[in-house]
Amino acid sequence: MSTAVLSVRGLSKTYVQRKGLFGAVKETHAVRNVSFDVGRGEILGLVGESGSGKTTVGRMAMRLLEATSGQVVLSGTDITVYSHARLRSVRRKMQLIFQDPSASLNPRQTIGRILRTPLALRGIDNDQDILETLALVGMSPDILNRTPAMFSGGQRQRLSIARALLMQPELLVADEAVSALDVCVQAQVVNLFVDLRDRLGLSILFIGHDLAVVGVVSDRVGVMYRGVLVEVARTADLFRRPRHPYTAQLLAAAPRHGAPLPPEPASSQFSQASGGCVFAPLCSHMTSECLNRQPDLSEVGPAHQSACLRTELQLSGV
Amino acid sequence: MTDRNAAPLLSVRNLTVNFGGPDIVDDLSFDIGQGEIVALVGESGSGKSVGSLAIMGLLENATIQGSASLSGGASSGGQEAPTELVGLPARRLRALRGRRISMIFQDPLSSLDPLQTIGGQIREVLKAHTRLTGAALHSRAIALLEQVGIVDPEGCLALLPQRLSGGMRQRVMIALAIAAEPDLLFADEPTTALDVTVQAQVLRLLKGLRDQTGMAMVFITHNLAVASAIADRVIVLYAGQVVEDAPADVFFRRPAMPYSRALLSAAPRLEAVLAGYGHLEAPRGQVPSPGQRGTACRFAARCDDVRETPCLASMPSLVSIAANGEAHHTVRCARWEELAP
Ligand SMILES: Nc1ncnc2c1ncn2[C@@H]1O[C@H](COP(=O)(O)OP(=O)(O)OP(=O)(O)O)[C@@H](O)[C@H]1O
Ligand SMILES: Nc1ncnc2c1ncn2[C@@H]1O[C@H](COP(=O)(O)OP(=O)(O)OP(=O)(O)O)[C@@H](O)[C@H]1O
Ligand code: SF4
Ligand code: SF4
Ligand SMILES: [Mg+2]
Ligand SMILES: [Mg+2]
Repeated sequence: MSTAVLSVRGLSKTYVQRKGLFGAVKETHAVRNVSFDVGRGEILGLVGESGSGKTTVGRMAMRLLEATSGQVVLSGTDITVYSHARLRSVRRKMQLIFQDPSASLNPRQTIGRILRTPLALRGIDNDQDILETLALVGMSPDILNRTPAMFSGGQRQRLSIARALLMQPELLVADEAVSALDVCVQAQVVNLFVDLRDRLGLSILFIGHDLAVVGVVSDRVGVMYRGVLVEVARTADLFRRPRHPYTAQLLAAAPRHGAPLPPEPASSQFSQASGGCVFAPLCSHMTSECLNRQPDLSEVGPAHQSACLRTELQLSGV
Repeated sequence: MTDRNAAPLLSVRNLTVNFGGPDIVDDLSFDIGQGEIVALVGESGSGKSVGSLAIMGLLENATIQGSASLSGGASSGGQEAPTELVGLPARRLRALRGRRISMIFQDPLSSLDPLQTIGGQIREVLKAHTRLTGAALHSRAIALLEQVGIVDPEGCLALLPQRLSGGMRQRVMIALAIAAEPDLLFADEPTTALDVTVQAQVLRLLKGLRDQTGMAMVFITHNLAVASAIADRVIVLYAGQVVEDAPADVFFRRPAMPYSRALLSAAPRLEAVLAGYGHLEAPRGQVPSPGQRGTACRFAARCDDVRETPCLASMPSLVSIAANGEAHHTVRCARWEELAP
């Protein structure tokens, strides 16, 4: 019996586009065979290239988007085959937080009305939970009659988190939830996520671009490249000793305080996409063997998995 | 690269903006040198976007006072007479935009036309500002998309904006903004939706454009590590005012204003990740909203170094703290001297 709140297995998404009525069919493999767990009270970070499929994974995990193949297991229950009617009963347990809090706060409704909606879904008709939740996200209780426009971006983000929490979720999927916030507010919201994990045992899939932010908030971090999960490890292990060349390249590209711009990464001479390792065209460690197939994600150390053939590589981290 | 003795490219004096209510941007003054990259940082709502949009002449229903004077840029060999942007007729502003001053907007979706392909939008900009036609126009469009790191530029030209991921949309926005090689580029959070690899690529590209064409840039960002990577100078806004204006290396080594220090300590760092310290230093409270900014130091309610006098007695003014021979450095803190490390 696993303790994972979310378990995805072999998740794939292929978009098929057709140019015109009889035109050529173009397939985009947005996500390829991705598997991971998010444990109870764990924050799993997800980083990677833009367009690498992070949002697609998050949406498939919540079954807001149908997977082309693979399984989604929520607290031991396979919900991949759930009908929409049955999904409704479990949907509450998973809540999505977007980059733009305005998307989940109706500007014409008062905060009171916005926050009472999830309670009504749970059949609760008093404000006790609302007041407790507002305290938890660091907002004062006298705001119920105001509208979202009267709050700053960070406050709005905290209100959308409060709204999600009132559903009593087991899992939050936070997709770029702090990316648009300034550093002070970002620090507040990051601390809030960590606090919610510690106090409520909440599990969070935390998707982001800023490696420092994702690193500070996450217990473990997964790295995606072109739809493939190429590495997963405990945060400090991943940052200190990455085992996949893409992770190392990502860490090297991260801007640092008081440091000059990192140089252009070296790449291999191989430029054509084929059946080989997805990172081969940009990998400076590529060998001919890498062009045969995409390596599987496999154990390279304690709780550390990587999808690179060359497990002997000594890559530098932070 | 930057010559502080030469006339600045853009000189902003006492810029004040409101939308009929309290002043949002309040008495803003700063200079941008020819070819200089200035990072504009500061809390959300501090007026970074509104100030830039006011200078670009893109604000509707706003009352704008003060001055923003643009002198001849690299494209004219610095020979053109300065143009006052505040109050300039819309027609003349439109003619300046794109060619002389350009902007990468904070929200890429709202500034791309959802009904027109990426190719159509790029061709439109290129036709308006260059003489390119036919195959030359097409290859320039491809080159622009390649420059911003789009892997399949030919395919991208045929797409509508909604088909692109967030990061790709932002790259298209950047390509549009630099298409006419402007003298001054306002880049409002241009790399927030980008992964660090592409972010580094875009930062190198923008810096390279400055080196090649002498383009100056106001780079608005929340990410101080990014500011540190690209900027020659850092200007910090707080509640509508400049509170510190310093050379980047000085700013990152010894920031003089307590708010600047709070910003730097709230910023997440890769080194902290290794320490496994799942916590960031968040300053208490929040920035006062326009209309509630009071007459004292606007940071007072959140400042660990606040004293009744001098902090609450009156609003500190922006003073120069550069010693003789040192580069331009101003700060708005009544206690900067006592607090200097
Ligand atoms: N409806 C769609 N039709 C075709 N392709 C799509 C569609 N939606 C997404 N894609 C493609 O799927 C891939 C993954 O997109 P996704 O939004 O998951 O990336 P991401 O990792 O979240 O990127 P970002 O960091 O930029 O947000 C991209 O190549 C994108 O262009
Ligand atoms: N059209 C408008 N009408 C009235 N108030 C506005 C308008 N646009 C912006 N404001 C207000 O002006 C203030 C400054 O906003 P601005 O967008 O310049 O902040 P910013 O520094 O760019 O913040 P962020 O970092 O979040 O982008 C905010 O309080 C905002 O609510
Ligand atoms: S498998 Fe080969 S090409 Fe792929 S990341 Fe490892 S070394 Fe590079
Ligand atoms: S003037 Fe006083 S309150 Fe304001 S920043 Fe300086 S020390 Fe702090
Ligand atoms: Mg995404
Ligand atoms: Mg802004």
